Amino acid sequence: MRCYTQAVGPLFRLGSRSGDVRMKYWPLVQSALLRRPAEASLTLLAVTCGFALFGFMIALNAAYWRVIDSARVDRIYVNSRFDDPNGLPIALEKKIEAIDGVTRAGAFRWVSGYHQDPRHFASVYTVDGGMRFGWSEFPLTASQWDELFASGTGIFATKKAAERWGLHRGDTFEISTKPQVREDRASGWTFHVLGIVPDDPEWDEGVLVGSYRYAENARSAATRGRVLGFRVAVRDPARAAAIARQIDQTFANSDTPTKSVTSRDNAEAQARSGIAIASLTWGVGIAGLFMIVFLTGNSIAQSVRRRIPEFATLKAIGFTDVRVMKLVLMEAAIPCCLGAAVGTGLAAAFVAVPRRYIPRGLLNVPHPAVSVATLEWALGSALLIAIAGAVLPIVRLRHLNVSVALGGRAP
Amino acid sequence: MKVLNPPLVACRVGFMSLGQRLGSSLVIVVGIACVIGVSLSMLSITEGLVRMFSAGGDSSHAIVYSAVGQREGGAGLDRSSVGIILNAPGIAVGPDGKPLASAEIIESLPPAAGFSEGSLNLRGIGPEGSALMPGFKIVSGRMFRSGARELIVGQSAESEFGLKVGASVIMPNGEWPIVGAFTANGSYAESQLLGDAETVMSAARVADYGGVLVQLRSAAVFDEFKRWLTTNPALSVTAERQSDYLERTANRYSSFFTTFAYFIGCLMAMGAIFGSIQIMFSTVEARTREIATLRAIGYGPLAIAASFLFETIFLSLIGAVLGSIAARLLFNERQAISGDAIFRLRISGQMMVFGLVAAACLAILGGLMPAIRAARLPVARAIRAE
Repeated sequence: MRCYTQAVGPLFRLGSRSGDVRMKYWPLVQSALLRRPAEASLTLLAVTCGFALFGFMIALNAAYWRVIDSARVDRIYVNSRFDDPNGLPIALEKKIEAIDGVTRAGAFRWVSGYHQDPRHFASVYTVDGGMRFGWSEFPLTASQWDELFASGTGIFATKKAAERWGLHRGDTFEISTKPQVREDRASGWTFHVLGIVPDDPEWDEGVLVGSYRYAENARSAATRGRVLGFRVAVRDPARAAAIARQIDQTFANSDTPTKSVTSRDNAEAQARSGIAIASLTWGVGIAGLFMIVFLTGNSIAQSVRRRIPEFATLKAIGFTDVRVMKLVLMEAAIPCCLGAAVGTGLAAAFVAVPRRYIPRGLLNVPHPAVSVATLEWALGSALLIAIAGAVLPIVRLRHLNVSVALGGRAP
Repeated sequence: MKVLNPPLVACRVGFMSLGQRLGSSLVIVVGIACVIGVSLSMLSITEGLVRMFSAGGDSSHAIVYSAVGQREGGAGLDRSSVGIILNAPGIAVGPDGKPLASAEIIESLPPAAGFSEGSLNLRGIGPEGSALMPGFKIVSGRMFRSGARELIVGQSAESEFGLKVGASVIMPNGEWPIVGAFTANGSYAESQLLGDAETVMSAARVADYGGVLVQLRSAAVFDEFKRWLTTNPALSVTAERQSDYLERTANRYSSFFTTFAYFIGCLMAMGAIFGSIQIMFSTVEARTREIATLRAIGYGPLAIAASFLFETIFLSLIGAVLGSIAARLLFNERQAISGDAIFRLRISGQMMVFGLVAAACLAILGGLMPAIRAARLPVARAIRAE
């Protein structure tokens, strides 16, 4: 009974009728938790691992939804319906802009080839002025857009692209293509890096952005006047899907039929078309929690079983069932919540690992970010687990026969 | 007199009291079942992808594609290049004296509603194309006719996108009927539609082929074949064994899932190990008098340690079996799609054995310290334990 007296002592010294009930309970809970530090530590470590997994899964799940949620609802992608390698005529841009509800359309076309070695595929995403509206989320300031279109050979590199190619402001970047691509029959395109800009979540591996006009003027005359697609900004997001259908109907019987889809629908379709990572993450997270429920429940059950005489004493001196229940709940909740907090911290550490240390296979998923919401989810789950784990021991204590338990016999 | 093996007796004594420790034993079983079940479920994606890609591979087949594109269907091969490739040494010839080769093109088609762009592909093949697909078989309808605007659909694409025989696909120059459905050993080709390459290229207004698939006289001539192509100044192409190419493609698709599975598996396994250690320490405590009695009547510390280790392994193996069975029942042979690859998840017997071995290793890691503690219990004090 050594531990019991140590714990109960402060209860009577600190407690008063008007005193803080939680403070009165704390020494009891503390003594129960620290009585077997090795076991408590192992339980905490197991719970921490479970919550690190859970936190990571929540963060990954949130990352997928973030990609979908961040997709602009007021933008439409317009591409060739049949993946025509020649793309669409640039003339469609004005016709699309003439459709009611369209703010502006921006055109794009790639300059694709290789950088230094034929194995190093490289490309520059060349865009026209309409992209200030159609791709307004791209982190270029108004003056940077001006600089891009004024410079001709200038390109802006996102951070990831700059890291990949080792680019800095002022560097040149060469792309080799077939000689027939350019009007002057040269096989090289020389671009100048105007600056490094923050990453755009749309591009997993970064992007180099150049001027469509410059690239178009350099192309062979026979291939000019084509674009790969358009990004169309619309005034009313609620009408985006209807405008997308209208664009397709407008060109349905033309030589170049289009396939238009809103950014949001496109993001959702991409999320659905792959292996459903979102549902996988939930499945894995729940399996982890399931494991913790059993572990915590067992741990609390063992602890209560060992201390049956102590609980009998508490009940004998006037502890109500509700107070005993609170004690057991706190004993269950503390390691769970602590494990949830530390585990979420570990998950945050995992996602903070620099990209160069991440296995290549994991680079293609949206980058998870552990947020306050992740911690809230983890703590909420920890409390539920604590309640689930404590239910059976509490029921057992409610039906405890005090006299039998105090007599040292198995109740 | 029958001599009993001491570790076996100690194990038997331990197992006899398992019923009294049902709750804690169940925690080990459930923990390991979760670890193995989740890991195998994740690995079933990799296994399914690898099975699908390897089903279409043949080391005596080679794929020739543009050196710039680095993949089939990348940058184009013009007709003159294809003509030169077909004259390369080492290509097998058919009974009609023509090279067994198929110049092919891959075109992306607008997929059904709800699927992303690029998930449905049409492969245009040459007259020898179907003969170069291992296990190719028309299962309903008929083969498309060369030069006709007709398509056949792979069984996986048929079920995933609802493209039935008799339906039609809108192409740039009108509707093309689906005249047949095919299987090809469950390979990647089953995720696609097939049509005549020339007709497809004409409809898509494409001048260049995406690659050339050739049957070599034997796998051994590949190096010579590749050397001839890559050193030919008139060509800018590279060649790869079809089996290697498909393996590389499979890795591109599956590397994420493999890494993800091991990452999750390791994290869960660590939790399960800590949980097992904690539970087995409690078991040592609960069985203190029992252990002391065994020691007092002559059983050595090794027998005691072995009994604890065996118990952990036994419980872990039960968990692994349950986890493997649950994963197999839930996921095995379920159809899934990743990008443009439609495949069936697979949990093979070999993977289940891997799960059992992994569970045994986790059990050893989780049971070793408690086993040592049990073996080192001082007998005189332990026998008086309450």
